[in-house]
Amino acid sequence: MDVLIATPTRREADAIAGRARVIVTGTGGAADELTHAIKEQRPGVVIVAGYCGALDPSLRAGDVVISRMAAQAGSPELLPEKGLIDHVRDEFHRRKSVFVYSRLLTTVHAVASKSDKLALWNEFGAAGVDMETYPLARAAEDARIPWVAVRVVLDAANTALPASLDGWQEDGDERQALKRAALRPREWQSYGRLGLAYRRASKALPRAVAIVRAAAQQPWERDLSLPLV
Amino acid sequence: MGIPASEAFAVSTHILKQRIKGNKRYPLVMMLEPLWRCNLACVGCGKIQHSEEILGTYMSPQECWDAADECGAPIISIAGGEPLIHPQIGEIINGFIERKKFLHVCTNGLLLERWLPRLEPSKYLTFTVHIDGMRELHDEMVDRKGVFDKAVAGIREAKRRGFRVSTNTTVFADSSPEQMRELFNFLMDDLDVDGMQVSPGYDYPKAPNQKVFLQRPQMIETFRQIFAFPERKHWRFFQTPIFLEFLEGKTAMQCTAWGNPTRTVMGWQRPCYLMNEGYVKTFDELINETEWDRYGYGRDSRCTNCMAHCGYEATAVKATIASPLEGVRAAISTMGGKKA
Repeated sequence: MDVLIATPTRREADAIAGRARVIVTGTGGAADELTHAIKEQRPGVVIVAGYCGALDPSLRAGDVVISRMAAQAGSPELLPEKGLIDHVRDEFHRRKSVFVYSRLLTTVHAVASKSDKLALWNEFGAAGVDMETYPLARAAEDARIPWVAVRVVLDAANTALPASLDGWQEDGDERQALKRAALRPREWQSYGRLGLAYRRASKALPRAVAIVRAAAQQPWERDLSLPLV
Repeated sequence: MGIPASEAFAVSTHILKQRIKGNKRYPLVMMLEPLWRCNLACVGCGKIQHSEEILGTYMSPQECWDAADECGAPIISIAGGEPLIHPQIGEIINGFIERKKFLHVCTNGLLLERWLPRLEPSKYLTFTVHIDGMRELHDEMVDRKGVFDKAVAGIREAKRRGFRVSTNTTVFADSSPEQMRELFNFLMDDLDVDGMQVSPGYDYPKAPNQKVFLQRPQMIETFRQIFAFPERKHWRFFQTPIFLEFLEGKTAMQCTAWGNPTRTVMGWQRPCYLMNEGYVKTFDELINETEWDRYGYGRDSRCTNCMAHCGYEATAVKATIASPLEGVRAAISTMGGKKA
């Protein structure tokens, strides 16, 4: 099966680089980018891959979340195809690789504070939160392409992101955030923690994507209610 | 009198020993169901819907003690069914006390007065009497008149004889915060119970009345209202402050299903006390061959509306042990709590 990996940022794409066809979708117009790539490349499967914040308090940086469903406030939940997801889970088990199989929540803004994470956990029960999974899964579904999302935890539920990252949207915003942080010594410790978490997450992401990709490339029993392109 | 210091100490040392050994998963409380027969048919119970043959099966005292030895948890909670129906329950209780296991006998109280003369008070023994509300509400939830009065009489007699008595209250959709306030004040001030436990009802698919269960957001709102009453500071719970905050939605927690493994007449129940995916023969199989990460809030739809103490109290206890400040809070709220 021909696999296309969609990642929101260049940083995430670089972590996976060299392993497959990877496109960088950005955050705001992620769905349009993926729709365009699907039309051009006609993949058999779309893997949505990247980092997420944890809402599940049992998760730590580097833990892997596989999408049981994609959720977004006010929108119907999206379920990945059962045959594909079973295949992915079996592959993780076969390699004795730990993961959790849960909801992934998509929000419009970055969820930075512990209190916001707690409120979303109570409301949605999603293991992870990000800004792109839902529109990317929606774009894949609209194109009748099976999808699966794999996210690796960057910031745990009991940690707050540095305040200067508030409003983060795209790759380029990081420099602005760091400039702001340079003038706020109180945030340096948070950035230090985030840096350590990033090291763990960036090691875990390519491993997890490789497992998902290996599973997706093998044939599985298709859901016939989902017609192929 | 609250939780004995020796019980809190036993749990703390058990956790520390497990951590030193490098055990990732270990039991804290063994849920023991030596029978499923009950003398009530409560509207929110999903435990007793079995064939007559299974309802007639009782674990022997030796099977009960062997299960505890196999499991190694410092606390045993005997539930069921109604444990006081078991003809050998006295022998089972005394055997656990001899083994220095902290024992919580969870009963509806109907047979309590009958058994009390045959037992001796012990620091290892606590009777946990199920009370879901004051007379009218409780009798409605257990679907029989007179049960509240009988349970209250049992509690009074147990206290008179020097037994430690706690209560366990399940909060359902029909339980208003005001009714819970009245109940908790009655239990603490009138009955003088040593402590209380509270938990939202789990939406058992087999329960006779599915309308009694709260959805998670309703649970959180209900507990916020219950704990907002000014008497709250006088209510002594045999539960960690972290768990009570979790019920109010103030703390995020994931379930620790392996913390309260369940041994039933059919074997070790997988995966937890409330959900049943079958049984395994040994505790080792249960703890090492269950795919624990599959279960929990967000991970399994059956866990969506579960905030029960059998899943989350173990998480809260681990968090309490990990933090000296939380340890002090827990000690004050249980051992040192006082009444108005």
